[in-house]
Amino acid sequence: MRSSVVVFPGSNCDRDVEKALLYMETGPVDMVWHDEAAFPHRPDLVVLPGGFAYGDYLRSGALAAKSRIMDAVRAHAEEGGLVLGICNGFQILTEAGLLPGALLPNASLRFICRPSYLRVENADTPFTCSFAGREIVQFPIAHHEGLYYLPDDELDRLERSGRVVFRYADQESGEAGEDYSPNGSLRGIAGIINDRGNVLGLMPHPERATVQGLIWGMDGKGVWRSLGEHFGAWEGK
Amino acid sequence: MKTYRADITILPKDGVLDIQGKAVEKTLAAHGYDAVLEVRVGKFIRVAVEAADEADAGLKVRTVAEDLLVNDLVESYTFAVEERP
Repeated sequence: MRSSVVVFPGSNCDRDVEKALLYMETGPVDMVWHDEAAFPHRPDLVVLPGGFAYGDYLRSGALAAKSRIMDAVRAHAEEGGLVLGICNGFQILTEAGLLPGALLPNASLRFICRPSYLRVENADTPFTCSFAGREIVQFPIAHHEGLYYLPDDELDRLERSGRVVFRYADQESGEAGEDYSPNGSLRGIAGIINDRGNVLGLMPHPERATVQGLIWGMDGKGVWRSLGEHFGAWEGK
Repeated sequence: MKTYRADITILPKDGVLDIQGKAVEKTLAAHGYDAVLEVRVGKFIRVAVEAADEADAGLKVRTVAEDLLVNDLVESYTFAVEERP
């Protein structure tokens, strides 16, 4: 699997994603500046990392969604290529119209940085196929705008089509939903996938729960393992 | 071509949780400002545009508002255009 990680001015998780991918031995990783018109090598996976692209000016992700590389990201997605947006990357995907909805300021109006427990709601995607369905995992969150919003009828449609992939949950009981949203996210939504099943966005950071020795655990490995398995012939960790 | 100034006001749509507005509203209520019934917090953006006339200026402002300045899923906007001397 060849990956491209897009670097926007203000990205700050780009190197973490690169490190996680290399640690998992998923294959070569290209770091691609946002102002490039194309990817240097045809990627299997494009990652839009977390951070504060363009200082979050106007709205989180709004200016980044207009970057030149986003035309190449859109073309890649239209050809069925995989796109993963983490945190600010998720915000960019919604602003670019590649995923539905919007990420609003947290209900507490505070920046939240802490571990978060998630239930894997759909383990039948290229990003989650190595997880068990309804498995509880821990990926940390670090954001100020993470309240997922979509009008009610569209939320129903999203739910019915199995496009809610990660939902905030209680570690002990395994219950998931709005009561467990650290940020007020509607219906506890932490991550969603597009209709076609090749573009995933999530607020929590799997890359911060991948490399051994970090304080956040290692559940995030499952995401990279899933992607590796999806592309087959993978001998990573 | 003439130059116009457009003042654009952006607010959270009705029905979309306006957490900042609610926080300001609560604080005012706690300070005894009983006359304040509701608070909405949004954005104000001023742009200068080159256009043939006022209608053309309005069209240009609407285009940039809908393309970038406003996220129409969660925000609504109004604007006023005035010719600049």
